[in-house]
Amino acid sequence: MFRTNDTGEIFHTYSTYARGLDVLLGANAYLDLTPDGRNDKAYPDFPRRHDEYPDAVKSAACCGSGKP
Amino acid sequence: MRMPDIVTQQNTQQGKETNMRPVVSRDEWLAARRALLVKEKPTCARATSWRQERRTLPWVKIDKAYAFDTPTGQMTLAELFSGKGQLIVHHLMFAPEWGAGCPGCSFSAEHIDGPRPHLAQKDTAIVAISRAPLDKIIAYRKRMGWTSTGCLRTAPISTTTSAWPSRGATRQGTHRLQFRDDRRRPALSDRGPAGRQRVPHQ
Repeated sequence: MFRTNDTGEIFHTYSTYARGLDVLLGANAYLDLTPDGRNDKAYPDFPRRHDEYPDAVKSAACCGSGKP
Repeated sequence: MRMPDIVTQQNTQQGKETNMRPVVSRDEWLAARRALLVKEKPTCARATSWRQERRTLPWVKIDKAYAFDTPTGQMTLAELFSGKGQLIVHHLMFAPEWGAGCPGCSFSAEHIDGPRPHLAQKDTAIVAISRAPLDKIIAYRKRMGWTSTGCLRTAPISTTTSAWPSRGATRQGTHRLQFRDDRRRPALSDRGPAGRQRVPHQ
């Protein structure tokens, strides 16, 4: 995280890594609210790039419309 | 409230085993939910406390000239702010020799485009930076649909905008935001002779 001040100087204010980034992962946060949770044993190798899942919609399709 | 053991049933529709929970009345569910809420509340309060403390951390002045290659030309760190007062920099690990960005970083990067317009309302810009050359990043961004689908707003600096500092700028003595990959944890550091400082996660 960076912040400027009134004179245009820039400051580094915060950094975080690994588990510190968990709060940013909304998909995991959703899963945490479900009965199955993240279920890492049943779904290993997660996350993948979204077009690498077995049922992936290729990125050429926009929002499932099938149109680029 | 004591919760009965989990029961495993066969879900014939899916062909998968479903770990069932006790099935109860709405009132019993509400009682159990409220009991959990009592435990959830202190956690929320602690998180609020941490958030307040985080905002009081001291700052470090950036006194190096950083340069980044972007689709709209080379930019300074100040320009990445896009006129905002705050800048969030997401390091998307994508080494120059790799064919694609790190899967975990890419997962995280998919949580950037949605929040971006909301962050903008709070005087905050967000960018992702990678070490890969700009053409690789642009191709990967297209593959992931982060800007080419039309579903996502294309911001001046977009999700995987290569805010990657140019080699030339480094040779000329300017510095760059360098992230190391030690123990697979990137660290913000400079290239000064005094050595690199790491900020370990607690």
